[in-house]
Amino acid sequence: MQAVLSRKLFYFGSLLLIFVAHPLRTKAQDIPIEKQKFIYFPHPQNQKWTTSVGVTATTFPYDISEEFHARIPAGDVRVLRKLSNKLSLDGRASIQVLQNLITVGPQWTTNLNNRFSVGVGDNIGYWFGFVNFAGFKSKGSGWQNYPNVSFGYRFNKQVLLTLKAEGMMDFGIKTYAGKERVTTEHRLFSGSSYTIAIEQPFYGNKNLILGFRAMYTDFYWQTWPLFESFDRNSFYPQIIIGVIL
Amino acid sequence: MIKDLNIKVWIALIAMCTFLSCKKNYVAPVPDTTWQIFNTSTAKKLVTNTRNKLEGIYTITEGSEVFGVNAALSWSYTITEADTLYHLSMFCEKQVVYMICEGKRLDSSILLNGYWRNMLNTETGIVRFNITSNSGAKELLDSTTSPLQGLTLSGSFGIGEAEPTNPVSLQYQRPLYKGSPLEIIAHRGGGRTADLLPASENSAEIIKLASRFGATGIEIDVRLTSDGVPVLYHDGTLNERLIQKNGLIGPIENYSYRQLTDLVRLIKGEKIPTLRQALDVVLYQTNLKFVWLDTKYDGNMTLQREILEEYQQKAIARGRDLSINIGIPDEMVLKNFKKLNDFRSIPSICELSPQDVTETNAAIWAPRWTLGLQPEETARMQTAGRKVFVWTLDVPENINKYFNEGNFNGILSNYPSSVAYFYYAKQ
Repeated sequence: MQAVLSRKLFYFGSLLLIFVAHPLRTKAQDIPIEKQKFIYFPHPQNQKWTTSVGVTATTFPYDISEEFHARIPAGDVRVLRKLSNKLSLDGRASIQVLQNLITVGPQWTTNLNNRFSVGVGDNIGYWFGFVNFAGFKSKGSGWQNYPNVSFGYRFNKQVLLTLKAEGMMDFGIKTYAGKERVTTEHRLFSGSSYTIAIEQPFYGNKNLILGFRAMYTDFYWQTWPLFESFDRNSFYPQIIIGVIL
Repeated sequence: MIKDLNIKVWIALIAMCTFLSCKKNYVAPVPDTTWQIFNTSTAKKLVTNTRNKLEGIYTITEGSEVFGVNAALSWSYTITEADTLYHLSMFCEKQVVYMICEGKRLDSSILLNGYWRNMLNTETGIVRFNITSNSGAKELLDSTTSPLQGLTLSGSFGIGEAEPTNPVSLQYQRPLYKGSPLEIIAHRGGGRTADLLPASENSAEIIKLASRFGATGIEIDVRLTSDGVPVLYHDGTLNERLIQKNGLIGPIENYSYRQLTDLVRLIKGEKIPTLRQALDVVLYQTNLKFVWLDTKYDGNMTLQREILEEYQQKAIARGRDLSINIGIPDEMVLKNFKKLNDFRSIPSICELSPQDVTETNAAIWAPRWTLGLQPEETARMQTAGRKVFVWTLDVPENINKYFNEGNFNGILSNYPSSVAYFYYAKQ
């Protein structure tokens, strides 16, 4: 495999780390995990409800979008509902108005010790979209499933680091270009994604989420209007920014 | 300060970001097809009669898990300085899989040697057939016999560079369909760069390959350099999708032809060809019958018209059945096209409304496939003496539907091999 480094992503990752490692933050006191708010961090929830709002920005690969190589933003809302000590319900909406994804699923988390914790979960999702492009209306919808596992590390400066791996499954995809059904076949096991996220106090009682998600998939739901037919995984880098309310 | 947070952890995080930012570069290189027995001096070219008898629709009795149930076998040729090269293309029923072989006679046997490729992914490999005298070669080499109902092509295929060991067999069923003609137009000269073909899109090299992929014609993208030279290039800017990294950015129109020639290489290492170089390849090295010049620039189109007329005359002089047409994809180009003297006499392909087609007297109306089959409008155009080409159809099921249920005169596709299969397999 010939690996190619995406410079922009490297810079983003470095800036992200520099930000969280800013000297002012190093003087912060260690706050017990029971008093912190988090969305990604795989730890039993402290509150009944935890909500974050933010944006994601996903770059489409050249193979799929050709010269249109822009970073596509989407509104991102996540809600965690504590069900029991270690079990919670994870809901997420990725919103672009004309196309949207909603996922929901259980998440089980536990702390291994004072610093480390882990979680497993499974989110099932449904996406749908309507695009009026070049004089014709396209529509599409489909189901997804994301089994996932997370690994968390709590720094002693209030910084919560999460590494998350997800399987990506797609099924029931129906896309139409105008009135024509586009019968492109996609694999059930589309690929996988890997997220690195950092959560830390921001201002007031808000917390900040900064993350980077690397998706390697045969089908990414936001690309459905392109009707691509490739049967191979492409790389979709995604930047995640959010605020925990 | 950072040390306070444990420098090892930060190094690990940076390494993690770096690792996650790596992507796989897909390649599907044509395997080395060197076959000693095929290259011996006693192996001779196949004569026309033998080649013709090999064409037809075959049932794939072994290897159908890779190649599907049926295949259409058709010859094409390209002309080099030294010789004429013939290739037997096998357009498979399975989603966009093809085989491309050369053929030779060795004593009383026929050898076919080449490679196969699945266009949707990176699967490729060597494929070889050895047709012995008893399994049909005798009749194929006999100039007095007709195509054989019982002809079986037995061979083997490999994966990647591996020696071919997996069996593949094809059994002759019927002749190729050659009823209502269909123009099979290869997008960007033969296929997109993303399709991982042996040559870059819009290069002179990809045009030489187009007929092996099943095309009877090509669509190529025309832009002007800063010094007014028409060249082939699709995107609005120089970018890493189409060219090897060199630090140059911005619109191709900002660079002179000399600068592009000296400094820019397409993704597979070729130079950006001029329109003349591309048409030279079409005219002198292929048997392609149709060229669609997709106009991508905003400017005076006089030179493009002059080149079209020059090569149309050259084709006539060589006795070639070649139609070169200026594409009108949008209102900007339409406006520039209408500024040309006597524009209604210029062979053109109009992608716009039927009214625009009438105003420009376009020879061809080219609606986007997403507009549907449009049977009434298509019939009206054809009654008026025009042809209708639909673009850009890539999903095999949609190609099949548009070919069999529509009434189009041509189909533009990134997968001409798939169009060719559905066309030749029609009964």
